[in-house]
Amino acid sequence: MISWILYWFMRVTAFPLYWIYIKRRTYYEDKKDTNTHIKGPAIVVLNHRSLKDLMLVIFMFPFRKVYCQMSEAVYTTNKYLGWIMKTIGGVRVDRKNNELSFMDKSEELLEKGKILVVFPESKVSTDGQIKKFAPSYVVLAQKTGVPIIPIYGDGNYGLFKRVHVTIGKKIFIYDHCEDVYPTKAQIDSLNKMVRRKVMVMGQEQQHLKNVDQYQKTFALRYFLKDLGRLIVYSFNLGFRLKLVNAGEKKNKIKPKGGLIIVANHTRFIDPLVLIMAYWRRRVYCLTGEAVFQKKYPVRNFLLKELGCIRIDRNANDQDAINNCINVLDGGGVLLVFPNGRIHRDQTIDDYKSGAALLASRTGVPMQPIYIHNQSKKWNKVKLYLGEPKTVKELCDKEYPSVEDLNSVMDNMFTQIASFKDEAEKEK
Amino acid sequence: MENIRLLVKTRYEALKNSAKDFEAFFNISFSDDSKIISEKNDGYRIFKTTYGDSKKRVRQIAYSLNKDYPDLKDQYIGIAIDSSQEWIDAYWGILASGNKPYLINHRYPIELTNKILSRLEVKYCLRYKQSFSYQTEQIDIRTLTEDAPEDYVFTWANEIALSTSATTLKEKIVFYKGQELAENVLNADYLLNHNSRAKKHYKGSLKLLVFIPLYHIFGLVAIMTWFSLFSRTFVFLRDYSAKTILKTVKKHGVTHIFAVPLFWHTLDKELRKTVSKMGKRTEKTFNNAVAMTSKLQKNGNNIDYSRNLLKKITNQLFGPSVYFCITGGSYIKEDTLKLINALGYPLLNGYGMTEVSITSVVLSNRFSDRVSGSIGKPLPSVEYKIAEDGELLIRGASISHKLMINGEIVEPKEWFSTNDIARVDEDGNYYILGRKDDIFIGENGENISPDDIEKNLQINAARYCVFEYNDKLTLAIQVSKYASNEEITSIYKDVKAQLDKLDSSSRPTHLLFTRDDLANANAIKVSRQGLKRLIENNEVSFFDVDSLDSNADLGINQAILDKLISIVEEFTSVRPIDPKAHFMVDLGCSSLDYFTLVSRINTEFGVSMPYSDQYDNYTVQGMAKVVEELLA
Repeated sequence: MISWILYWFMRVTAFPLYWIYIKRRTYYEDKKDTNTHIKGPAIVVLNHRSLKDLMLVIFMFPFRKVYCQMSEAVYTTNKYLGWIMKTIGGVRVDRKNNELSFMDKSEELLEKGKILVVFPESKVSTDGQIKKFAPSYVVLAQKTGVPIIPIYGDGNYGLFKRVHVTIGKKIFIYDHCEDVYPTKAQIDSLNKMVRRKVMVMGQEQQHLKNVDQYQKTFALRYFLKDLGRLIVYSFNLGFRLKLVNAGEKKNKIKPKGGLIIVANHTRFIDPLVLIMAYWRRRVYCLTGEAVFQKKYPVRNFLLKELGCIRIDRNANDQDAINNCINVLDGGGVLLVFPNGRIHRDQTIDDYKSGAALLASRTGVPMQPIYIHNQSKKWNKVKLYLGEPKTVKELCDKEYPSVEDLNSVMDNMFTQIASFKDEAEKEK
Repeated sequence: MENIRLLVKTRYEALKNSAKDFEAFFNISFSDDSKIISEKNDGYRIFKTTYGDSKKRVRQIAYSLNKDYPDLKDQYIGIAIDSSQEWIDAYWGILASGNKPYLINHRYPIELTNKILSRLEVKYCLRYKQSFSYQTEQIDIRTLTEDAPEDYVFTWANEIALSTSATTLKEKIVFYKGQELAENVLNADYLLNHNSRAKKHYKGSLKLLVFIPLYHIFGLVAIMTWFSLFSRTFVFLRDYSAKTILKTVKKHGVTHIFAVPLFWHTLDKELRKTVSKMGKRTEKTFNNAVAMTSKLQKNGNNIDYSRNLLKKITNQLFGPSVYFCITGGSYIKEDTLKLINALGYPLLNGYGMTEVSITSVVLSNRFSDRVSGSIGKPLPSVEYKIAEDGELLIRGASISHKLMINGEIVEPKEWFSTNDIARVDEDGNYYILGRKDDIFIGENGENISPDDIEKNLQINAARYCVFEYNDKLTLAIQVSKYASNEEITSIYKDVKAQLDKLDSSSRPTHLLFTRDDLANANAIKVSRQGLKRLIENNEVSFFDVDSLDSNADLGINQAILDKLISIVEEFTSVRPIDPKAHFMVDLGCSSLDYFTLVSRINTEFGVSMPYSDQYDNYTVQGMAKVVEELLA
């Protein structure tokens, strides 16, 4: 009784600290199947990114006390710490002496209907990789029949950060192995299956984070960007922007989901023109490193906030690629000028295949657009809009090669070139 | 809310007015698709199968057999499946396909089963996942999945075959027609009129624990056939450990437990052992409580009242759901009957044999009748007669119509000779006194029944048997292969003390100890004739307790240590294995290896190894000590 009171007292008093320091965003593989309200016993298997994972998991399941397998180091470091850990539900695991008495204690807890948290990696992973899983939780799950709930956490703890957690569907070992005494190979295989599941959840979490980030209709962090959009939209008053082939009800400038806009680049205001046309969506623009100059930090900050993604064209800028992939994966619109630079003489140079690579990686369609400056007047512009198509539709291959990507860009080039011819004829 | 009375009446009348063959029985039993036929659990979830699902499966199996094996007509097909829903599906599926199921007792020695299979000219056996080395082709029922067209007409067979229990290991096949089993089931009317607890439900369900295999006559008739007529539920066990049994009964809310005396005796023994470990005071309190509830029941109090009084104990046993228990297959000790009944679980003694099915059961609600050791009065479908030599004879519509012994068909005579000596009291209740072949003439010229002597003994050993050997009344005790000399000496002293309390005329004069099996591992009881044969064939060797030096091995039991070393050798390439070597630290094994090792030890020794926090308990020597303690 006393330990129960102490536990809830500690939990209540620690909650403000948790609330301030650990902001959690939870994703569910299937919210109806498994969510944070778990009835009955369960084994929660979680990857170990930080010591704060324990605090995360304690507060994850409201009104339920969770028991957690903890290493002997926690108990031997300090006797008061050991006592605290025991009170909050620690099950001591003595890795040093290779003793497994925690198995009986864990089984007892599960038989009583408790939630048991296991970090099967046994150690905190400092490099973000998911280490090998120890199989004890599989043996417990097989013996007791309780479900395993796999959880992936990205370990992104911090005062101004947010930790993302994905809760997977329940796994019943009995569905994969009915033997009362499974063999070593069976236990190993089941263990690997759960580990793989956690890894896949980690990969899918990135997609969910992207969707979260790039599809939110309202968020404070987009304030500057949305303000910028509004300001650019107001340029319409002074601008005479005409759209050609905009489609029924102008649906070509109202894309849903991810899109790569591929356009020619003749003036520095080309991005603004396209943002004006696609004002309904937040458009991210791939911008050369030359635009970001160190001596203008405020400008760099504003450019970044307005949606410019810096790319170093002289190096293999993997960060930029990853950022682009995150935008597209999250359903955002990316503007790419495949020339790589401004061509004031309005020539359409060789197109680099980066846009096709991004499109094939993410599966989003590419839309070719020709920006035609009708006269030397900067505010008279015609946009010729092409049909959005995916790489698979353009080259009819699931996994295109380098040549295929080049041919896709040639296709874009051809379309934009044809728009250019059309524009010049209409002159 | 189900009207049980109406259901029983309707189904009973339907069976009575039908052709009483297997087809009629199936149609009546499976008439309500929504009822649950079976349940099982994985420790956490409960899986249910309805009569409708099972019926669909039966049709699939039958149709697939007809289609894929068109030459199979009116032939015997073996069921090589353990007791499970799949066994039930296979049983009915074979009958519906126009073939006859042979209910393989797959705990028989393979050679004996193969002999029987060849006698019956069995070409195919149905299996489910597990494979057996029978000399027939085996069909996995998971491949029989074709749906029969709606208008397909099944041609049903009307005979089944099964073998006797593993007690005698004789080549004896018993045949039953649908009508014979139906006649047995029609005793339901009589049964329920005399003991309404048999139809008592818990939270709207009546569930039977399938502890006895369904290929055994007790399981086939008393569990499956009787209760499937009324579409009741069968609960299958995941494994047969005590912990699983108790957990399953409570989890599912089992209401009926039918088991052999070995089950009840073990329960009695374990319960008393647990209580005695709690101290003399607790033991005394327990005994007083049991005596009190017995008295209350004798005075006419409801048995449920006793259970409520002993709630603390019964909640740790079967819980509140069990309403009806039957024991059968061999004699049951009076003390066991008294204890289980006193706890509030009505345990009734029954009688039957493979050749005659279930023929009687105590149905009285009176405490004194339940613990009297009687087998009750014969059911309406049979008649009892006691011959001049005291042997019980049975005849009736529900006994088997044909036997095959060593390949020869034997048509039964009018009265079936049970080979059991019986007596009847003035109320018409019968009592089995022992096997005719086992009755021994004592020095005082009186008949001595070895069963009666065994009933008065409480020996902490694997098996024991009182029998006549070399004209001497002998007590043979089978100790565990791993029992230490100290343990054996202790058992010897205890037995001696118990024998001294017996009457000299019925006191065994010869005491034999053996580590060999007195009977087949799966036999319900020891066959005395079988034991004599084993001794003649030198398959059982005895040793003299006096020659044991109980001080010799104060250390570890060498047999256990040697066995453990041989098991550990499967996990490591280190040779030789030092008994003091730590399994993980010194022998280089992982925790995964240790988990597998524990499973092997549990299976091999029949124990449940705990996970220790002592370093020494991870050495071979330490593990041997733990196993020894658990076996003790």
